Amino acid sequence: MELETLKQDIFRWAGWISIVMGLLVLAVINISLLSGYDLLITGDLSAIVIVGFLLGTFAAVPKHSRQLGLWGVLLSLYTGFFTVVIFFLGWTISPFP
Amino acid sequence: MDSYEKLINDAKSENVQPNDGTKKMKKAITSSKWRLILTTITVALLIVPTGYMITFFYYAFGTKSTTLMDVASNTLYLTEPNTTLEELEFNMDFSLFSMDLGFQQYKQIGDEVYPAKNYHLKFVFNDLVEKEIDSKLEKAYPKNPTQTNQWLVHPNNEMDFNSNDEWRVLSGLPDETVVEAYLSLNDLYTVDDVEKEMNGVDVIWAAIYSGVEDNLLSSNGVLVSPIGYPVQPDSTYWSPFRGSVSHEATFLEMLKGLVPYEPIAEEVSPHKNLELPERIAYLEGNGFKTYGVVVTGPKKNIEALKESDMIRALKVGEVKLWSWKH
Repeated sequence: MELETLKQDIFRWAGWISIVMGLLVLAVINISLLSGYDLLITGDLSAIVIVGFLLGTFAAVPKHSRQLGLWGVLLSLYTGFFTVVIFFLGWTISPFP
Repeated sequence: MDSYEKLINDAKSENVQPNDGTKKMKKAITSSKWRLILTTITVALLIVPTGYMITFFYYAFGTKSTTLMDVASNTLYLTEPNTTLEELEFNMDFSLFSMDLGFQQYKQIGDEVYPAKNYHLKFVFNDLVEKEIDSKLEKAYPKNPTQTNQWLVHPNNEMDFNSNDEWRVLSGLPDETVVEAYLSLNDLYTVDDVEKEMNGVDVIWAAIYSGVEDNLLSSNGVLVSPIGYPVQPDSTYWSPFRGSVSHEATFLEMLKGLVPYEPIAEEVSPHKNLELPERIAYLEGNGFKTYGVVVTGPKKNIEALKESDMIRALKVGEVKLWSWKH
């Protein structure tokens, strides 16, 4: 019984951490966009996105933490989509180096 | 176990149940409280990046950023006499639902090209909401155009300046200077004829008669801007006239290209109305004749043009130290 509760807690915490990581990256993106400074989603930030995605996927396995896990996964996917869109459309709309 | 102990035990076990329930309830309340907080934060943090993606999609697939840039540069080529722009001087920045466009306008005086004005335009989507112009010119073209304050004047129109005074100013300049001069003609001529007449100077820009320059009023009574095109071959990579076989054909093509964006072009241009469809129809039916040109060259060579029967009036533009290499 205790072991089962512990397992549930681990999945749940993985979900929460995944969400917090996704929000942290989104917050950095917001600061970057609003301040006008280029903080590229590379290095530590991309590592956070990947870890957040993995934790979210892990948390999405059992039913009781699936919602939290999917939330974290969607945040990571959104960040990835945003990066791709900004990178490729940035090349299209600005013809200068 | 007597009945008293049994009663105590029952009471204890009954107490355990509500405690567990309260704990679970507290946990559920805390969890849903956090869910609510994080949902709110998530929604708030998605607004700006989503806005940026919409902005990028708009400038990539809606009104393209490069189209707005072309409209701005082509408008200046056609409405600002003696204008050239450099591609690498363009600066483009994107922010939420808006685009900033900065570039520098140049003028040829003598054989050198000098910076004339810095433009900073701010578009919210495709609406020009801010225009800042920092002029480096010593002789600025009238800011608020009227029917008679233009420097290139149609033979039938009146002029605000005294041409004799301008000739006197020109004659007082040192011989070692090169001058940009606005020459109004006494009739309509083809650009080729004007070029043949202007010896020892470069004809840079020709104002083209499009049926409305007699009094600068369109058929519906609106004050319009003069239009024209650069005459000299332009090898600048950025220029719409680069490699152009016929500048007249490129000019007409550019005018037609501006028609769908006429409101933007009118906002970019210092002159408020272009009335392009009416003028394009005239040009297609009547051809291209000029009533005024911008020339540059040594002061003495321009002074010699006073004897030409073709010239009605002169307005002296920018003056620089000698740079004539012809």
